[in-house]
Amino acid sequence: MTESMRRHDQAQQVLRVAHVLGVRPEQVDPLASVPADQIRQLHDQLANWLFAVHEDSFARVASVSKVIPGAVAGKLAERFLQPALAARAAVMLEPAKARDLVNKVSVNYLADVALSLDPVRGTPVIKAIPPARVAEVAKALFDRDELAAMAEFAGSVDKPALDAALKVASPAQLVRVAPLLAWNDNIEQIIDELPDARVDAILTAIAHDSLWAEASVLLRRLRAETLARVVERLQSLPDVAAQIPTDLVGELAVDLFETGELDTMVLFMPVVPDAALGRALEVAGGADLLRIAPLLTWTDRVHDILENLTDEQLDTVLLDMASHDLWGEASVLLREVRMPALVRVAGRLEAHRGLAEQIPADLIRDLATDLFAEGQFETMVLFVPVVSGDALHAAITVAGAENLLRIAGMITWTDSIVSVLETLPDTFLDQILTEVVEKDLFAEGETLVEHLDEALRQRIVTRMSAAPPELLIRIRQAVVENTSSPVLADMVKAVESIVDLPPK
Amino acid sequence: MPSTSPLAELLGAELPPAVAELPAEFHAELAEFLVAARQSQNNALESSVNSALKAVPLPLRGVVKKVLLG
Repeated sequence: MTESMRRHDQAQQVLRVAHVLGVRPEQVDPLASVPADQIRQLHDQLANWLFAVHEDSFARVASVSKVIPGAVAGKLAERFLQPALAARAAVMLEPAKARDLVNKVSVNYLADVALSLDPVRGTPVIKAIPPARVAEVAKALFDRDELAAMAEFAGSVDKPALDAALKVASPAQLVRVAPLLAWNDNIEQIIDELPDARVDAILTAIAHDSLWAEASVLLRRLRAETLARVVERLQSLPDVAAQIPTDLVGELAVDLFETGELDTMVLFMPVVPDAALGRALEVAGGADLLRIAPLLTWTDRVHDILENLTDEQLDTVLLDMASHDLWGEASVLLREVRMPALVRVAGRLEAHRGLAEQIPADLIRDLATDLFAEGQFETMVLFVPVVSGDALHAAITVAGAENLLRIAGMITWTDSIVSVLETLPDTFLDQILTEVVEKDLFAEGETLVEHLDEALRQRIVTRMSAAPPELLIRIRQAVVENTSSPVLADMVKAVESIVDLPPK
Repeated sequence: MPSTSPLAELLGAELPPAVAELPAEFHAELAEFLVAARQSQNNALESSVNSALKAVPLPLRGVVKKVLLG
């Protein structure tokens, strides 16, 4: 509950204490510093004490109803019995008699009585009142803005009566009374059963009257399914949705992430303003951001927000990825984000090498599949120096010989990368040779061999020696015409010393 | 917290903690208000009963008087 709502609740309870003591509210002003539930407790203590000191008298007054006709009793009560006294006598009535009497007095008098009625002790009597009459009294209380009194009774009436009472409230009154209600299944069910038109009217009233503080309390009390329905209605009310305060969405996001109601959170994404969406993703923290990634609709807004995460936020995502074992979710996130975000991820992994090495090979293989398919070589090479050997091996395997040749000049070469290449099978080396010739990638091939160690170059010489003569002839020709690399030239010479090639 | 709250004594019950923390003077005021409310309730009851009795239709007055006053 927000601070303003807390103050509102306190003020309402202070009014009740003043009412029971028969003094002006300012005479009990020091209570304004006391939490509302404790003011309510004090109110009940005072009311009970006042009831107890004249309990016998109230019982006798109530007994009169047994010996005179209801119409006479009603008329006498309204004319001579102050509502506060009537309220204390009323709780001692037999419920059947109460049902009769409520129709013999005016609605206004009943509303006055209701203001002093003890909702707990009076529960049997209150429950005996027909829903239609409850609705009339509720209307009178709403018209007087006696929301606290209304809220007190919500727990004492059956669902049909509560439904009838809440139906007479205007949309704005309903929103304003909601935070004061002791939440129960009846209220939840009634809200569930509200027709779309009523939900729309309530949402419109919230925006029109700026009842966001009250709405916050109301929305945070709803079950996820009910909240989901509210969000669905918001989709047809863009003017209302556009006004949803950032803080409110942030609070809801905290609740929903805490309870794992990610599906509902996702519903908010397309509806709320940018700032609110940003706040929701901000409060998500690393783990929840990863968890929600597979459920998101990846709109430009979502991308923009993710690309604007701070390094610190990004680090949290990466650290949570490892500590919460959220590799599957991370895979979705990394494959969905746009290149600028992926480049930043690679940059942060550079700063967290230990973390990068934990990334499973499968994840990097999937990422590499996407990046090579899209020709995103520059982004791919950012991951090459930081990931584990297994992951790099997996990436090179899906890259294929041609893509490896194409990124050879962009890679920041390290011994670890060379070590991974050493584990590649002969068939892969053969494929490299073929691609060099078939795709005319001599320059790339030259770059590649210059970064390899002696052992690997020797393996390539061996594979070249076993290659078809036509292939060797074309390599030799290309080396003569295009390359200035002494490494490649030496390798061709080594091949020539093994294989008897036709003269140049 | 007041060592002995006149309000708590009057009610014969422990006050809610945050109420108990309020100044002793305020507790005394609340106790006075409560006693006054009791007196007012007593007067109102008496006055209501007397006025109502006069307004009860004559045939019912005896039985109502018996119920109200014993």
